[in-house]
This record gives sequence, structure tokens and C-alpha cells, in this order.
Amino acid sequence: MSQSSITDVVGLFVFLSAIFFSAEVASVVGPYIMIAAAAVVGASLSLKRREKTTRLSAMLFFLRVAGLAVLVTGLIAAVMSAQHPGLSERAMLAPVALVVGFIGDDWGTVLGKVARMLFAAIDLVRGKGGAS
Amino acid sequence: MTDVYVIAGANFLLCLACIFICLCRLNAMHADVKWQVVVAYAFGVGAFFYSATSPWIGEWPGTDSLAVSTWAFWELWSSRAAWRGDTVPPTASQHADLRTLDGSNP
Repeated sequence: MSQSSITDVVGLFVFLSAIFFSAEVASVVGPYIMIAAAAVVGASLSLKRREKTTRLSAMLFFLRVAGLAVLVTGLIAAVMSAQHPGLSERAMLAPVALVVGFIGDDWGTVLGKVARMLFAAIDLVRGKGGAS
Repeated sequence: MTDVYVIAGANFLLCLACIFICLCRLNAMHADVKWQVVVAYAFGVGAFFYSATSPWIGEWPGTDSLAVSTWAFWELWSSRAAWRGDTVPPTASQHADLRTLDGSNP
């Protein structure tokens, strides 16, 4: 039987619940520890950018951002790796986790900028098409 | 084997406390805090997290890791007066007499 993907979140938690503190677990959890370490650094920088809040609110924000980074990093890294075969999924995990953590709650702003760039590109193409 | 678990547990708790302190200070920081300070605390969170969770990847902390974690916790704890009320201190190291006020040697 082939080994499941290292970024299989469900498999990870099943594995964790079945065995604790063993070499088998270490081989599966290792990448996630790395993802989480990068994510918490990004989330820390994101926390600093926010307005000062209560400690509880800050902790919840931090856990939410770091948790989101752990959940979506594998998916984003896989998509990016598929788009750019030169970049391995494994190599993309830490930088993607750092960026996702760094974005924090600013997804609206980031996606808005991406959408504006997309529309600008479409306008550019349409403008060129009309001119020719 | 019990010693290994005890050291790992103590290291985990110390790192958790350090992460909490770092996050509280990052939360307190305003926009004009030097980026070097922000990065130092942010990387601190990452480093303490890695140290705390290292047993999960088969790297059991030893007494050396525990010593460094204890020192780091003590450093953060010692500067609590400067960060009281979750406010950023105006200077990295405030003017303060390192001796006891009455000249005694505790």
C-alpha cells in the first residue's frame, strides 16, 4: 500500500490519536511541526500589525490565524507545485505557511488586490484585442 | 525514561509561558516599534514553539534545552516591570540601578 501524502490533515490526526510519541508519528508530524513553526512566526507578525486588544482576544486571533495556516498550507503548496513543477511541494510548505500566517485577517485586502490585478489584466487584453 | 519525560514536560511548560509573554508583548506593540524588536519577538515565538514541540519529531530536549528555556523565561519575566500594563517601554534598557536600593546583598 502506498504511503499517504505528508500533508493529509485527516490522516495526521488519525495517526496522532492512534500512536503517540513514536518514530512513525514523528515522520508524519514532522512536516506539520515545520508548517506550524513557520505559521506562528507569520501569525506573530500579523498580531503585531493589529490594533492592541485584550490578551484573550490576541490569543484567539493568534490561534485562529496559525490554525488556518496549518490547514490551508498543504493545499496551497500542492496547487503552486502543480503550477510550477520546478518547485517541490515540500519546499513550498514553510514559505507558504509563513505568508498565510503573515496575511492574518487581511484576506479581504489581499484578494481585493488580486482581483484588481486580474481585472486590469483582462482590460489590458481586451484593449489590445480592440486595438488590433 | 521518566527523566526524559520530565525534562520534555518542563521544557514544554517553560516554552508555553515564553510564547504567551511574547504574544502579549507583540499585541501591545504599536506601529512605531522598531522592526528588529518585532522580528525578535516573532522569531522567539517560532523558536519556543519548535522547542516545545520537538518531542513530536523525535528530538527530545535535554538539560541543555531546559537550561536555555529557563534562562529565556527568566529574562522575559525579569522585564515584566517595563512592560507593565501591556505598554511598550520607551527604551530597550531603562535606566535602573541594578543594585538593591538599600545596598544590601540579597
